[in-house]
Amino acid sequence: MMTPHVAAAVAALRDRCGAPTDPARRGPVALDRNFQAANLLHVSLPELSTAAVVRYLIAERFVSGPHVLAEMPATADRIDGFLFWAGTDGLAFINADHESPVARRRYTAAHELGHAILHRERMGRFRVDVKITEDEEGDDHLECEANRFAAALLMPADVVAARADELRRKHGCCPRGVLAYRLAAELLVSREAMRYRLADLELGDE
Amino acid sequence: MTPQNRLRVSLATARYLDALERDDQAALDTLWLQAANDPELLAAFRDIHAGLIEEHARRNATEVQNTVASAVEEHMPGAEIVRPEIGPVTVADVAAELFRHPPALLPAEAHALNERLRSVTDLVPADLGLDAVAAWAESKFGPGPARYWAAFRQAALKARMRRSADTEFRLAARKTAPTPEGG
Repeated sequence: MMTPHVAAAVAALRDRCGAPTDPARRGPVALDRNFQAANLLHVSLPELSTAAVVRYLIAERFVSGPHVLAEMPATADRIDGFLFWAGTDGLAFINADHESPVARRRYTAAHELGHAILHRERMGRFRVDVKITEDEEGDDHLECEANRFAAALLMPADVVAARADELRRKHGCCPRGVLAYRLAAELLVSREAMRYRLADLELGDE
Repeated sequence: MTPQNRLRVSLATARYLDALERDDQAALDTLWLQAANDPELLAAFRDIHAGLIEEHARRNATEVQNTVASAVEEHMPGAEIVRPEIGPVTVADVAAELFRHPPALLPAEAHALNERLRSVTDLVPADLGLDAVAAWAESKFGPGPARYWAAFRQAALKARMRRSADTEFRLAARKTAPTPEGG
């Protein structure tokens, strides 16, 4: 269930980057604009690990040397996402290996953006996301909120509702599976994430 | 602490600092004896020493850094010395970053514009969205290639993050610095 403060945060971010949702417009949400509005850069790295993040931050001169990252873990274990903060700016790392197709990477990126917007004050200088699921259930409150944020950002409710109406008008029915298939392709998200979103919005016939 | 006590501690600490300056061991001994029966004075002396130790450590580190930097500059002319940067990021800082590490495929006019910006001391804006940066920069410095503003924005974020990370690191290091008692 979408919590009001998450929906409000997504709406505020859309306002800030001057990209309101428009159901008449086809195609995926421009994620980069939203990152820019949050003073956040995103980087996709194959075989993402905390060690790879440390190497990248030093090699690309986001920090002046390894001493600045002394308290950060640096192991070779695979992770889905990583968020690094310095002052008012941040860097979101997304795993870009073969297990992460484009739709999955976009979801991870939006999830990290969610942490940056919603949880900046509650996290330290970094946050490691070992495994990101695409549903909104789980024990970790922050992870669930970041997932809700990602879902609301990538699959805007008004766009999803407009496509459901369209399908129903055209064919007299709106099977959730068909709607999920079409919307996943249009919005560049996985079908699983789309199904969760449709169930959450109670759209489409089961 | 009462105003009288504050005055007493201030006068004693002034005498203590003066004795330290002159290396007057007799005066120091007298003042330590006095402090042994005066917890407020003892705390003040300890604070003075904590400050002196920190200052000494900083001075030593700076001397070593300067020696190493001079040696690198003299014997490794191709090397870049990354010095801890402080204060807000200026346009010149960003242009210097782009000068040292130019992105690939920048057109010639971008390099010319960057050269001009290397002497601009204006601060970069808080909002570093690409559209915001390009609009702000073009209103101040005239038009530039879109590719240049994208590179400028990226370099500005990088410079600001590096500076913030350095500052946060120094603050964290200061917080965890050992006390004079070794705690």
